[in-house]
Amino acid sequence: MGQQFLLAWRSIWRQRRRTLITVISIAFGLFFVIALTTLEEGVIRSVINNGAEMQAGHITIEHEEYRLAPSVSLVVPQADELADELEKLSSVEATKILIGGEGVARSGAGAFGIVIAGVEPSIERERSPLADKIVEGEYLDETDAKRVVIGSVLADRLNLKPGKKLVIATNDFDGELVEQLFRVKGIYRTGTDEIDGALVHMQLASARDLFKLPSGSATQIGVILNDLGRVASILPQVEGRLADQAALSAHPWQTIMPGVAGYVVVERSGYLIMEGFLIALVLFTILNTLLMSVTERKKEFATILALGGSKGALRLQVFFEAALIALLGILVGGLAGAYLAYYYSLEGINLQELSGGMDVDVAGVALDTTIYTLFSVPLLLLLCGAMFIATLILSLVPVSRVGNVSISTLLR
Amino acid sequence: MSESQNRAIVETRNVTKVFGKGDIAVHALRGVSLTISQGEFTAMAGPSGSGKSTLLNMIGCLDRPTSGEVFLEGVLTNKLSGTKLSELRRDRIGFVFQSYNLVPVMTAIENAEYILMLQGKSAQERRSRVRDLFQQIGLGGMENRFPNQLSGGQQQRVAIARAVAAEPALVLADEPTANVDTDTGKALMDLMYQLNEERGVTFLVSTHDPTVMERAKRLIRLRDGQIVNE
Repeated sequence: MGQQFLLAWRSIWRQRRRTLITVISIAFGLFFVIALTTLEEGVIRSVINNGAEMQAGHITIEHEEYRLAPSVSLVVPQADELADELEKLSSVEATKILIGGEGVARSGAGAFGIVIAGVEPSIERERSPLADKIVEGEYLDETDAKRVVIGSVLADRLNLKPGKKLVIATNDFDGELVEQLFRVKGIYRTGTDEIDGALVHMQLASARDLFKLPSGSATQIGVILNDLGRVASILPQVEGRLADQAALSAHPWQTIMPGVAGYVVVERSGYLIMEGFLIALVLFTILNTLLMSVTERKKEFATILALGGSKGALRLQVFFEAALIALLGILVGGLAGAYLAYYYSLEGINLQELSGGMDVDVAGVALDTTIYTLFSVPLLLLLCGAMFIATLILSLVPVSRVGNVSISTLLR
Repeated sequence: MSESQNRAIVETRNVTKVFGKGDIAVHALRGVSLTISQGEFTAMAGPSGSGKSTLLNMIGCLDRPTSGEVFLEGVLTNKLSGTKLSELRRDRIGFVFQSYNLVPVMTAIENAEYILMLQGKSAQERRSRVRDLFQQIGLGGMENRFPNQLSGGQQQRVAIARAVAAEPALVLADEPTANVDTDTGKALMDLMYQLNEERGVTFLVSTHDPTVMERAKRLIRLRDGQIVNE
């Protein structure tokens, strides 16, 4: 086997230019696949995490009927205690307690329907992208009773500025119509009109007071994980903690944000198809090279067979040649791709520059204007491994042709 | 003549070879019967298309006759499996091709050692045998050169070394001087005669070269697939 490996190594360098072209083809193809995959997965991860952190976490706990007909009457009792307990689970980075409801915001300029979110300001400041998008005033803090943060579109509609007052009317826990006066503390701008024109953040205690919820209760608890990939494994543990509370259920982010889940499926399918074409093109180049290499060396193979060499040894040699070329290409392309993925996972790509200053949203989730690639060693190894295995499988075609040489034509 | 020199290395009995069928059938060999004894240096001459290469293919177990029998050291080769024929070629036959046919990615010494390696000989034994041979045939110092770094004559010397290194019963040489100049051709023939004399290697050489024919101990002439003169 050592002899075949040595001969394979020497053989690939006999046609130096052809080998280099093939290596570059593989490297370029793999580089492009890594760049596309890590960028797309970075965008997907960003969309999911932004949505989860801005909304109700990667896993959401709520009343089992809340999904069908959201209402402030369907609450999670003792939400604070449950959240504390959930934070003890491994992979849980944080929890967020939310009170969600609908209402009408009114000022001297008019009245518009809004979505009310009672939040924990300290968590939002740390987690939610919305807290970073304040364009006027400031985001809430824990002492901001009866203060709200509104979006720029709603502020324009109601002609509001930080410090100005507005009235919020809604139905409380018992279904009674209530209204309270709030003062604007800050105005955010995500770039998504649906969000900027409707979502109003207020402190959790203010929301409990507005909706007259039982003490300690909330409509949702969001569980934020430190690893998006662990949702499926943590969900059963979360459900286990709810076993003694029959009226509660836990949902993964796909259920809470179906639009985002649909986007992920479409996005992944799209880039996988594109990568499929690219890989097919690269593999065709490799196949062509290997076949040419075998065809050109029929006399060499025939000589070895005539001298008593075995077809198996020749096949092994050609297999090694394919493997070596693939390894070289994968080494070059993999390292270049990994460097690119690593660099942009730290530096990010500014989408606003690329999109000419336009804001970007995906399935109703405002996307960070800076996108970071996903630098994941397992993902890189998977892509490199897939390319290597595909090349090896492909090499079986020329390998199978090695023995199809006529030794009786050697003596003429 | 000693008993060992009388031992038949090759025996063909009424060998025929037909390529194609029907109207386009070509009768390359028409009942060739021939015996070559151990230690002989036999030249086989004849015009192109006379059947020299076809007969070498049959004797060298590279092809099978349409009819007749080919014996190598008393073993009927016609019916042997492909694997057995391959083993027979490896262990008992050496080949020298017109265009050298060295493996381009092996050095000169690796080429010469190749059959010994296929036979499973240790690296030490291979190196020892082939180094001596290289000295004997004037290739000393060229062991680590690749074929493209050698002249045509040097490549053919390596090919001869490869053919005789494993001490085969028979060396088949297909126009070994055809691709080299006259002086080199003469030197190559000197080498083969030397190996025949000193090592007792049996040679069967197909040739168009009159000097080879003149020096051969035995000359067989073929025409239209038949032996016409010996």
